[in-house]
Amino acid sequence: MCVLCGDLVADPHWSEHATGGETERRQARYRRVRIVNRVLTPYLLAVHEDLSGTRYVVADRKGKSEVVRSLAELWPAADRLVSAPLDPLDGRLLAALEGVSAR
Amino acid sequence: MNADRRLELRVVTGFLGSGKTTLLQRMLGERSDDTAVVVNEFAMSGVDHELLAPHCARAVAVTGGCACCERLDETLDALRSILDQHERGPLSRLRAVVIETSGLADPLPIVAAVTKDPMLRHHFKPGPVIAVVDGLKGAEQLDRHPEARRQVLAADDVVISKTDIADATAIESLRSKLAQLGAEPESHAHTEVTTTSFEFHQPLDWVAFGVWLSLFVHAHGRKVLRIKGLVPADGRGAVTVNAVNDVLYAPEHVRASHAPARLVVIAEDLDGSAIKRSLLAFQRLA
Repeated sequence: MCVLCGDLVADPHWSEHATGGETERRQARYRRVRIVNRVLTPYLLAVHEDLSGTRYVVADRKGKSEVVRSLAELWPAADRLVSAPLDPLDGRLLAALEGVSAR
Repeated sequence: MNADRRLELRVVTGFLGSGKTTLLQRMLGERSDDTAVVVNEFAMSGVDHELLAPHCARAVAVTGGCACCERLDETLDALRSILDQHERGPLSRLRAVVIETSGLADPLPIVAAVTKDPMLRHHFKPGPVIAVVDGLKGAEQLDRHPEARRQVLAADDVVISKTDIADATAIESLRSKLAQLGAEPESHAHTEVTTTSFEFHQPLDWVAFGVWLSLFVHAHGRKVLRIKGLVPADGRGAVTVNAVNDVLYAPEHVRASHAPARLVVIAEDLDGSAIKRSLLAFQRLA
């Protein structure tokens, strides 16, 4: 348990394993947030890091939000916020992403 | 960094009578004090563990059903018991545990159950799944039995047995059947199993790949039989990727650069070209 926030410290999610030190970990989290935001935008959702830099906050445009620790928790939270499962194979999502990356 | 003290969990699978126990005897050699074996047999009274006991540190029988379903709890109990003996002393030299599945078992649910178990997952690391295919009857078994096909699809390595008594033509046709199984869609029952293979000629963006893979297994984990591969990641060298259903093992860095850089996704009822398009679309977001 973290002595500062009383949070239970879980194993880091596999996607959070960084090869370098704190700077690399921070940079990776920053880039992760940017990429996830591009995926969430078509669903009218957005994600940002919390102040501690250990969690993510995913929110819709009406102010509903959930705090999650990793991508493993983020996608189920996004499903709940849009009341539908996000699908990375959905042609409409892919067309939106391909449009973003082409610009 | 602390040395990895987890026991390697290997699985030897293969259809009824394919030669799993014989292969395992040869793999263990005269005696492997660093390996324990859990032998699963469909029959109520097993004999294979007796055959294997002289070759390993401990052989435990799980009988009367398949380790992937009705005897799954007993299989996990056997692993806990071996782990307990390893930590208390009698099996202190242990480095690996091999599960020999029954001839009808699907190896993936066993591996998935270990990786999901709150205790066992910290003490076992995934090792290879080896499928034994009968050199004499293998082609027919693959045609007739979905269980045999699932065992091959789940495997990291396939071993053809009885090559000394099977004729060369039969072995050759079995080889091409195995290659076909790994490369082309294959229908059985109500589902279609597709194998999608990606070749990588330049490093992947690891952060974008993590975003894609986590969403893919979240959305489609139930349909994913297996994801395996070695991918080149920017600034990280080669990284192993290994998933069973929606369970991903922690990726590991591998020094070997000569290994093929590819990712294989084996899934039911999913469109391989959509998987490829999706992976690439996410990469371009990096």
